[in-house]
Amino acid sequence: MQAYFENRDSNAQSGQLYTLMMGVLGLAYLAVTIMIFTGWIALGDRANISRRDINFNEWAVAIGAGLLGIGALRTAWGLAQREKASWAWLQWMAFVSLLVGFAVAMSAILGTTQSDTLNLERVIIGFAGFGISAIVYRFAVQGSSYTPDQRLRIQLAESPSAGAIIGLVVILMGFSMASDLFLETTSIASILSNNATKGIIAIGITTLMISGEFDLSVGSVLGVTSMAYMIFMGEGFQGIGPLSFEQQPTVIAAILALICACIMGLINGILLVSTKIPSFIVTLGTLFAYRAIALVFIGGGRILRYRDYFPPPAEFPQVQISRWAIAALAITGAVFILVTAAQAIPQYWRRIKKSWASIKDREIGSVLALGVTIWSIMSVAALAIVFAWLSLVAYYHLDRVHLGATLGKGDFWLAVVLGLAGAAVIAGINLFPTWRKTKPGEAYSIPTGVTIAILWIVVFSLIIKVYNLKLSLSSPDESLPILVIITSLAFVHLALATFRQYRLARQQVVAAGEKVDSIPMSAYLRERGLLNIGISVILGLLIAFLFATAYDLFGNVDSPLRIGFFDVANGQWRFTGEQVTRGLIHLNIPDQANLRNAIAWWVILAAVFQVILFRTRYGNSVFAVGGNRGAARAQGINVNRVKVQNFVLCSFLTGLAGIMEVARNPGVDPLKGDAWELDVIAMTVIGGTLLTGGYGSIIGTMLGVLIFGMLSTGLVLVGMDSRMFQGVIGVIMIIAVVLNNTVKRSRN
Amino acid sequence: MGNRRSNDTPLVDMRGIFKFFGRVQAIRGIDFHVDRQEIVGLLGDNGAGKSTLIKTLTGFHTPTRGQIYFEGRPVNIDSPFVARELGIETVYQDLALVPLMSIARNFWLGQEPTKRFGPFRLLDDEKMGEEARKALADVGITIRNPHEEVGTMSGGERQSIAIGRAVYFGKKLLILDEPTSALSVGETRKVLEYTRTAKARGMSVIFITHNIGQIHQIADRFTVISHGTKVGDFYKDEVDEEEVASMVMTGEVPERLRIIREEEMMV
Repeated sequence: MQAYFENRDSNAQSGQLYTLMMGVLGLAYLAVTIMIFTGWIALGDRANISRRDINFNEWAVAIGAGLLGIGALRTAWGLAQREKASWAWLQWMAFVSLLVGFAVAMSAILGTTQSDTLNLERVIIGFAGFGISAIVYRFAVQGSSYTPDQRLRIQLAESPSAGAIIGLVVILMGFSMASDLFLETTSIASILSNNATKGIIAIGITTLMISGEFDLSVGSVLGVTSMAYMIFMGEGFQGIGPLSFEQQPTVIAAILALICACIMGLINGILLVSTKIPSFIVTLGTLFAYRAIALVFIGGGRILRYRDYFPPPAEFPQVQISRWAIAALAITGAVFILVTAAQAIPQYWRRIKKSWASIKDREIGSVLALGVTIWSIMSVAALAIVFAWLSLVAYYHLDRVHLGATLGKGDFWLAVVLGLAGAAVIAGINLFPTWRKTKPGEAYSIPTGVTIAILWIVVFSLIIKVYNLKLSLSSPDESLPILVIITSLAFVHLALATFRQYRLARQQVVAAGEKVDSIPMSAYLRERGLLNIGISVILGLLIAFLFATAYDLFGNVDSPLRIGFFDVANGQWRFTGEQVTRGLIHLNIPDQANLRNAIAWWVILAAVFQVILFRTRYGNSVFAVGGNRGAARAQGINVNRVKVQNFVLCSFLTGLAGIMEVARNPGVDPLKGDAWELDVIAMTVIGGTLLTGGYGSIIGTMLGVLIFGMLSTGLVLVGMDSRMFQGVIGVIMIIAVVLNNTVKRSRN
Repeated sequence: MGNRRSNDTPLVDMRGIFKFFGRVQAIRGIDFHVDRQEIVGLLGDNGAGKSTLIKTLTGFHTPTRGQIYFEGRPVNIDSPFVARELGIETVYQDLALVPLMSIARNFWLGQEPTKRFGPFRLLDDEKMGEEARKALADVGITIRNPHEEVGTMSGGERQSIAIGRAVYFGKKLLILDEPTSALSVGETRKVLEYTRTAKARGMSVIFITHNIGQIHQIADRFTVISHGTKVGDFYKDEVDEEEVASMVMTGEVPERLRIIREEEMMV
């Protein structure tokens, strides 16, 4: 293979053979995608179901096969061009195909247990794919230093959650082969929804456990918080003196309940630090103590129900937000971006002059540079026009509602002028990479440029066609969706351009023979002031969203925005692709699929805590305290404070979970959250976090939560006695820990 | 205290230190001082009170009686944080580094460089790695990869990193608590070398050990303690290895030295 890439013709045959094989493979994958869309391949039970309703499995397979097909074709092209990088591509494609072939064959064989006939074609195709890929792989990896499977193994060994990853894959594959129902939307939904709140608590437990402690009282804290929330919301609380509360609006009740949770965490932490008793004992004690609070307050077998306090004609609690506030926020953001961009005007002006000069000097590639420049200006101008438009529409709306003025023709031209001015300011951002290059292909190569252009055109025409949209001043409400979409896309484009610039600069540095390390991304972005642009991309998306909310795309402008608090906390997702895409995509979440908002909160909180743990000083001290208390102390870290903070944090997250639980099921019984602590600790341990502290990750814990959820749902689906569940969980937990240790040992 | 060659204010001067744990009298009235740019070997048998004495200096214990002066000023070191602020860095046998964290993270622990990300401050991993590598290279320690876990490294490498860290952060006093007891001969030599580097860069070093052989070459002075009291202070040229070793074991000052000492006192 080496010889092939070094252009020695003696060995060209093998390269040509691989090129051919990759080409065929790519076409085969694409064929699968097409066949699924046209209905030639049906996955799952499809009797009497319209061909338009492609189910989730089919979507997944179609998208996966499509991506693999594109990858294989790209590899074939690279091989034909003797691109060095395509060798690694070839290895990966062969490796993935090997796995895919095996999976296809096995699922066909195992699937027979449920349908009567063995799907022989699929078995043969699967094994054929497996065999051929294995042979290709065997020869393609010859002489390379790191093969894909080695790389995977190294990656796995470095990850704290190796056991969890392996377990997740095995369990997922096992259950999906054993039961057709397992990959149904409803099953996935119940796995996620039923465990998202536990997942949120598990984040706190993971943090605590990394710092070398753990908390058995979370179940009781959850019970008390839920109860407190309900009591503050429903009947108020008669305490002593200032500790009495009237009945409170829902947000205040939630905040008070969270304060209760934090106090309970604080008590845990202070007890631990001041008495130096192991956290097992302390939190075992508070487990009982906090449970007693719930038992005393909800005496006599009572259950606190929201409906008992607010019988049916009353709605679930709602939060009102003034649209003025949202609009103000959006406009502030827009102004911020424009000011940031305006600061760079002189720099951009120099660049424009320089690129113009290069065109006049007839430098190689200058025409292409001009083309790309125009393209850049156009996309940025679109962005700026949309901004100006949004501002004007905002003005118009507020006017119409509150001042009675109307929008005239002059205002439209104002919008255009504003837009062009904004474009001139921001255009430089995209101009930057184009003038520097001296030969074609360094910035946007022609194929890339054309592809981007086609993609934009396709996306826009699709959106416009699907929504039957028009840009019209007389009915700004109708224009808004398209404006919002264009803004978002333009921002995405800007973000991509930013990263592209970084890559180009890096390549230039490498080409100049300097060390790559000498321009870290962050430094580059900061230096160019582009980090600001990155932030504005995020801000811009947010602004677009805020604008959309402020003008209420689908409703009334006058009234304040009303949001159901329970919906935000843990409402059910009702998404019908048909409605949103006007019949283009038949991707619906069935009503019986219980996907809830707690899942989103779980993912967001997990991401936030992953950053906190691995990228902040606080996180570093958490690891240090758990890994070597003495060393942490000797380096001036206040060990006790970190521990107390972690206990409070853990209880706070538990409190959040408690409120979400109430939002899902507005009733609290005194035993709410009973025995949850054990589930949550099991999830965390499965995820690879060490009980002794100093090691672990939030992502591992998330996998642990998923494993836990898949087992609880999957065992029922395969018809196992649900009472066996706890036993299985116990065994799995031990296996996961053993696996983690084995992988870790193999690394050292 | 008659036996001092420098007339400057000592860097650390501990006077009449007592430390009782309940009825156990761990230290009974020890005077101990360290001059600037001096390597002091603190010697004593197991249980002699070396560690207790040092822990009162580093803030892990507060002395029952006695006063500590740092650069001539009386100080009250009641937590490791205070000791750190004063510029005292301790490298413990097994407490120096966090084994499950990377070299860079360990190096910066407690004072990590951050970069602003909007309103948030995130760790600057690149800077941490690069600066740690440079700083350690300055002291003469080459590491392969600053993001490697410390747990995979040998005892000598760990000690070196801890020493390098102390030197980098411009500490005034480096305390090495039995740093070489678990090291191979080659590693020990390296650690001793870094100790010399630290001295050359203006630091004072307290080297705690019960093995005189290791530090005889590098130490300027020995302080021997036994059963919670000080046996004596001796400059390197006054004593030979065997005499120190016998003092560590017996707690008795040999006849010859006693005479010298008395003569000095008379003068």
